[in-house]
Amino acid sequence: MDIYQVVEAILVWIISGLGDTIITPLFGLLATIIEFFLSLIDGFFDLFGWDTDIVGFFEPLTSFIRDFTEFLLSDTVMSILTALVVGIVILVLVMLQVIIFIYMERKIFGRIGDRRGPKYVGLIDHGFLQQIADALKLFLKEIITPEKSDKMLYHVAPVILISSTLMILAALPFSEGFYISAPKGGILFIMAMFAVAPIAILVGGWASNNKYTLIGGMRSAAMMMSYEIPLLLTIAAVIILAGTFDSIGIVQAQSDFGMWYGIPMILGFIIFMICIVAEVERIPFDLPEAEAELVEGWTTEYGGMRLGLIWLTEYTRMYCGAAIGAILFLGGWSGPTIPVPGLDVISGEIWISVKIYIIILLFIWIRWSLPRVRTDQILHFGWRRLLPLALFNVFIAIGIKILGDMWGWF
Amino acid sequence: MVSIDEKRYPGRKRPPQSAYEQRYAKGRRTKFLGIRGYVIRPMWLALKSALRATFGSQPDVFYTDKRGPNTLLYPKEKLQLPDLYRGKNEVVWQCCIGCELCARICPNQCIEMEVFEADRVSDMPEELLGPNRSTQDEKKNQIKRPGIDFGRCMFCGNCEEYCPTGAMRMTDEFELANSSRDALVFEAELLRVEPYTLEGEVKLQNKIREIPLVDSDNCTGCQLCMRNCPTRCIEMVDGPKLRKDKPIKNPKVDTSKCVGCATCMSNCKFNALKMEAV
Ligand code: SF4
Ligand code: SF4
Ligand code: SF4
Repeated sequence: MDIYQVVEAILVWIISGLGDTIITPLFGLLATIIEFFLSLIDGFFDLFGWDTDIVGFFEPLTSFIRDFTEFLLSDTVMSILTALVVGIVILVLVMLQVIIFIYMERKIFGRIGDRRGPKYVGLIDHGFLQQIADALKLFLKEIITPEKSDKMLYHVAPVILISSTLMILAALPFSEGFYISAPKGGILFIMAMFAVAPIAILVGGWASNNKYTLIGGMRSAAMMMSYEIPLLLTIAAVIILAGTFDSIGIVQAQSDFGMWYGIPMILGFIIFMICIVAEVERIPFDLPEAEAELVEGWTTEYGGMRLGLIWLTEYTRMYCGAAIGAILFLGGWSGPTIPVPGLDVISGEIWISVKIYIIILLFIWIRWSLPRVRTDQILHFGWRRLLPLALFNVFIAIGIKILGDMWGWF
Repeated sequence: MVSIDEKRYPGRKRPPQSAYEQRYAKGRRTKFLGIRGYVIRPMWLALKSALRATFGSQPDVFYTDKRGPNTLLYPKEKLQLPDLYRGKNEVVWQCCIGCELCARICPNQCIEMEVFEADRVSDMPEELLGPNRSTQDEKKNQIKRPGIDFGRCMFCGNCEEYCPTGAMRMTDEFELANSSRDALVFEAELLRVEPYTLEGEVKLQNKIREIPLVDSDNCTGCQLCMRNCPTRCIEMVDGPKLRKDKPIKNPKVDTSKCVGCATCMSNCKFNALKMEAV
């Protein structure tokens, strides 16, 4: 589904529909009123014997107001409006899914922990509205800034975290046509934005002026060294095979190759999953937020809706990580068209959602089964296990590429 | 290898393990290390637990075999309680003989005896009255029945255990929470129940296993003990001492009927009775 075309068609339909009934008459009236006052001023000046043509002077303005509908329907304005609406639509869709993930996480965690999970608040007795109740609770909390904190950095850190996460969404395609933007170097941009978060965590941890938050921020920085390199190496392997940095091109290359990259490069897929869990800071790699050791990690001093937004951001990052995993290794949105009228248009989006949800189920399952690792363990693991394996995976990718070129697989 | 239990209690056999204990004894094994012990096994256990909690049956109180989630949705579902659960007390008024043993034995002193007119329970059929002579006596037309302050009760079950007639019983009722302390004081009327079944006579049992011993040096033969004994098991007989050449009457206890309630001892003004274990 090409979301830009759809949204533009809807916008044109709405604006031209409103244009005849509301916008043109309303703005025509506005222009008439302005002209009336202008002519009054003109008459006032006439009293002094000055011959002026104020109405004629403001003629461009009034005609612009009269032709406002045409202005709205012009190409430039229309494309800006469309991009805005598309951005909002995708943001809302992702946030709705994030709410579902939080629900999934709590429910599955409850079941793994031999409990029921959220139960009473919500539709049909399954606690679906519990997240909304909790968000409301967080919303009503007072926002407290610690007295001896570095005020500016304290306020800026969540902004960096949240905005860098939303930037990931801006370059993340969900199908050939369903994206906010699909730049040529999309994967590079996404990984760069992913890597901004440790800086926000370090800044937030330092600015809170608290031992626990500082340790959390430092851990985040130390951890980044160990998982970031194997992660980028596995992505490099995929890029070598696909021959492009473009997310859409990678998915296209997979369907040309006739196989998901996750199958010949199962090793790379496993390394990628481990590293992306570390990247989105979930157990077993949630060292910056080790609530058993560091109270609440780097978020200790944050409260109220700011804390709620940080949590939401973490789930959004999880969603983005799962989406990248699906695109790079599981064939993205490629899949058979669903033979149901209405659904066949969005079958690509449905396939990628199915893959994302499976990866997220895996994330949740891992989170509530495994113990947290120590800082030295993750460094040891990252440098001495994952890095050589990731390099080996690059060689596999090069081998497949060479053989494929020789035998004409592509 | 000798287990700790055998070292501590040589020759004693361990009771057979319940299914629950066996399962958890198995679960405690930690001989798997590496990727099997740290990744595969925990994830497998988590999956099993999630499936059991989702599709398993409801838990029963002994957690025997397959079970569902460990938590109950409390106001909607309630735990199936064991038979010996100790909840709120109830008193079968027709059995109670007003012996005050429960009030005396209660470690928290939370039982208070209330006095009623006798005819409030005297309209019951004669054969159900049993040995409850305090209700029939024309001279004593008042009875005593226990009321309990559940704010102080610790549900130890002593009152139920020592009650000689089985009138005091503990039910499964545990929802006593209230926002005021006064509401936790249950008057005797609130604890009153009619008997579920009463087969034949109420049997008196001396569960505390004490009877009074008479010190004939102190006894003046005033008959206070005889009049206050709830089971009327005291008879006055000639004692060894003489007053005006006539023997002083001393109490003689019918040990087959005495319930060891010590009412006689506390009523004696001359310290002539004391309770002795039998
Ligand atoms: S011990 Fe039993 S018989 Fe005696 S007063 Fe208490 S309830 Fe009644
Ligand atoms: S259960 Fe124990 S504490 Fe409660 S009234 Fe009976 S004897 Fe007293
Ligand atoms: S003889 Fe004394 S202890 Fe025995 S039942 Fe009568 S009053 Fe109670």
